[in-house]
Amino acid sequence: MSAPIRRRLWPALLPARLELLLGGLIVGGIAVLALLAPQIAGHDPFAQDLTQRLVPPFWMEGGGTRHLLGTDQLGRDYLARLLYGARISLLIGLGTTLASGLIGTALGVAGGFFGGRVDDAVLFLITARLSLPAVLVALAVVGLVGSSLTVVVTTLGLLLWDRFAVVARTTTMQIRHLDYVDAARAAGCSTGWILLREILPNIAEHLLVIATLEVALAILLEAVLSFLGLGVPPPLPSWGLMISEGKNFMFFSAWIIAIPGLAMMVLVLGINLLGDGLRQALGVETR
Amino acid sequence: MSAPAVEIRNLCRQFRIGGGLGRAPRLLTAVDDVSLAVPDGGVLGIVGESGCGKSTLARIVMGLLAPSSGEVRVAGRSLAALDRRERARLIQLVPQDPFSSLNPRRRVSDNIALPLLAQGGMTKAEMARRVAAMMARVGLRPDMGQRYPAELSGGQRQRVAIARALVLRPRIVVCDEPTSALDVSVQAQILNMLAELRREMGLTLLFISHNLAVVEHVATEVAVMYLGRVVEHAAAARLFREPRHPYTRALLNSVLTPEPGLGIPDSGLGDIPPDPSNLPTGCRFNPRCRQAEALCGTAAPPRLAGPGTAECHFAERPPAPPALLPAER
Amino acid sequence: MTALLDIQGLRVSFGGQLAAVRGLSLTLRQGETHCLVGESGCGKSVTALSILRLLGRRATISAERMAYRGQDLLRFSNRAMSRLAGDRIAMIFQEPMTSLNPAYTIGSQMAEGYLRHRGGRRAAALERAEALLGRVGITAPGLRLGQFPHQLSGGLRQRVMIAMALMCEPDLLIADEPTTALDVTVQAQILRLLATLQQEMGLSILLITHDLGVVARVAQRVSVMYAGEVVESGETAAVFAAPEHPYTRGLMDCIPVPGRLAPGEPLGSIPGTVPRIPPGFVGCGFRDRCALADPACAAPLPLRPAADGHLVRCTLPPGWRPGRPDERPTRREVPA
Repeated sequence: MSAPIRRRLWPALLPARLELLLGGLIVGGIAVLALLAPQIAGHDPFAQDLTQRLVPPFWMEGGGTRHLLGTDQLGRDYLARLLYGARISLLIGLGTTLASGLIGTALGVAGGFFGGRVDDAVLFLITARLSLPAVLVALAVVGLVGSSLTVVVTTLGLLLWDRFAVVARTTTMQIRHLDYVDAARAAGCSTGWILLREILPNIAEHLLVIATLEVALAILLEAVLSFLGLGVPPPLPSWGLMISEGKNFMFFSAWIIAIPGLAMMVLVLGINLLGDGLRQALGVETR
Repeated sequence: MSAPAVEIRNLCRQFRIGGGLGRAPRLLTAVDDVSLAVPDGGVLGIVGESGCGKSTLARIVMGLLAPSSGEVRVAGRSLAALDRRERARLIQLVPQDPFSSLNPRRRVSDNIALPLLAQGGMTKAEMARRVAAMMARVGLRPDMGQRYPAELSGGQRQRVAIARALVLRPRIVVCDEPTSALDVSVQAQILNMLAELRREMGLTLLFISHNLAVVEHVATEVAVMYLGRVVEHAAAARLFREPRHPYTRALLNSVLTPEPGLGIPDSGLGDIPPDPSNLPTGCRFNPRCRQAEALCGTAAPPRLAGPGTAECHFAERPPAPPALLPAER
Repeated sequence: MTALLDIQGLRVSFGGQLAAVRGLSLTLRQGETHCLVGESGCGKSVTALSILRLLGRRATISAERMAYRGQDLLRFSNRAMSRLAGDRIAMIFQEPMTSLNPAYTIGSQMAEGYLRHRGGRRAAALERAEALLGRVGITAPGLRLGQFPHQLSGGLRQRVMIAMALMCEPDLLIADEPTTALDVTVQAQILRLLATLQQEMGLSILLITHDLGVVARVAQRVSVMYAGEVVESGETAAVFAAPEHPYTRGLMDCIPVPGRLAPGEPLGSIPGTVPRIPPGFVGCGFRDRCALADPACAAPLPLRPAADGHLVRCTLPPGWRPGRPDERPTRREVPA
């Protein structure tokens, strides 16, 4: 019975399907490349070769096939660094979103479901969080504690949960009075069960859409932090770090910042397209 | 005589509404000192219009909402003393809206199995067997178990809701307007099915509805609620033949039976809708009552004294004849 | 009496997938109330919406004739139609909660339509609005003009809707389930109001409902719809006294009427559910649920006179009554 409806809506969904397809391809493609980095890279991203510094990419004169995307100022193969950098970006994006998603969803669902004092407390936390400038706090923490991958993921995870919380809270409030929640309580289900098995699955798609957007945000934030020297520490090949390290050479070897910059743009674009497409596709099919 | 299946004693429930900075919140009395007893195996119909508190009463009896004061006893035991599993084995709910009473993300058979899962301690095979048996009982084909609620019609969904309520074989089922959202022909099917199931399983029903004709068909006793109080409680046959409270009479007059040529009745209730947060003094029905006198505005009428009584100063008076528009040309 | 609204052979389908209305014919005479009754999915609301072209682009509407006072509505341009809607033909809907815009006052919503159709000064429109609010039985009408919809109860909102519909003194009022969402006492009041206004203003009303009680008390004529077509129609008294279509009979048996059944006796019921009719479906839509179905029911059926003259779309002979269980009625001849 659902098949005819889908067929009828297909023409209307075409733009959304395109976004979904494109976004999916981009993100999927980058993820595959990142996964297969050791196989594809051909070089060790940390191996320095001071005799091969600032070799341009193969399409420019002076470049060759040995280093397809050239080398950076320490002779490290750029393609390898780019691919390994993709790993870092994706790791940070996913790790942060997982952490912030858990925190935000837990808070939002609690506030939305229980109401009263609990909700007041949750709202207070959200307002407090929103009044903090996230980037500055992240900078301060990393500056105090020292930079590492773990620190960055933890800090961003503890800072970026607000959108999850707001969306989780609103959607929970919309469904907590529906009859099937009452029926579950009448059936003898515990509150924990109801939150986990009745509420959560029915708000999941909204959270999914937020999650895709948060991944993009986390990746960009990490790049900003690394650029400022307070993110992922060298010699890890974070794209932000690559831009930061390359900025001294950007007038003569513009490609050294253009390549990681472009890569980040494509990844974030892909994630946003995916999120948009998901939102449209899910929005239409939810009754 | 066995103990009543459900006993409601002096039940009150208030809600705080409004109130903000510097303003005290108002108190809305949704249920005001309600006492009822439902005999084992009987069907108590609760009727009233919107705002009368019948849905709140249903939720309190179900254990979904705590009363502000008063007690509910189910099968002789206090409802508050039961843990959730015991309560679920005794009393279950069929909600009103078939479109929101089933979890849309779960298949039909999983929806029906929910109370079994909540009890725990049953093997998957046993649960599947009981679900299949219940589905057959309510007239659902076995292949529907794998479908999602969105694929079912309103009537079919209500059958699923009934199956879910009955799978634990409870003693009491609270039906909160179970057929109000359904077409007339589907309603008839569901009501007939409920009557059969009730006979087979020896159920006691608490049947909430605003549709008096349905209640007359289904109930053995009827309680009429107005602004949180039960204003009349009587055996169904008697209530519909000789209503004692003016509000009951107004309600019955307003029922549009499918008999042409009788015109449209005038319930005589006037224009002002009842406001639960702003109760009148004395008898709370007096602003809209045709037979109201000075006494009604000052003194509250004597409380209900069990079945067969009405909460009115003049319960024994014969009713004023209803006014009708002239018959259609 | 002149025919105010004359619809013949109306067909409405959605995206070529669903035939919501299949050849409906209906005549509304001046000054009368005609009820279109049926259960959900029968196409009654779609019919009402198609008269004023409120269905949107996804609907395909065609008819042999859809005439208002003799003028073919299907030939009207969209502009001409929007001049007609709200002015000569007004419509009220089921849910007063969502039919009124929560962001605007009652007064400005009522004045908006009037100003659009008749022009003139805003103050004059508001005066008229106040007068109409009083006419529909709303107390303190001047106060209400400045109130917002959420400040009024459901019954009051529906009265406001009626007053709003009457601003331009229409000839025809289409009411789509106007009392379904209201309490039973309020329902009676609203129906009385409509009847009174009809007598005072010479209004003609097309009332869509699923409630046979409403039909019996309010309508002079009734059309019973099932699966996109009218299966029985005629004067209310005649149809209720001697219904001939098995669906109409079944529907009437389904309804609980106080005092009609002995305690414990089951309600009559119609087995099965309302079908979705695919395009190209021919013949009686009820035949899969009908205990008396016959191969003749699969051919296209016109409306035929019943025993007392009202119309019915069925192959059963006129005046047929259920007798012995094994008795098979001889079917009417369906012309080639």
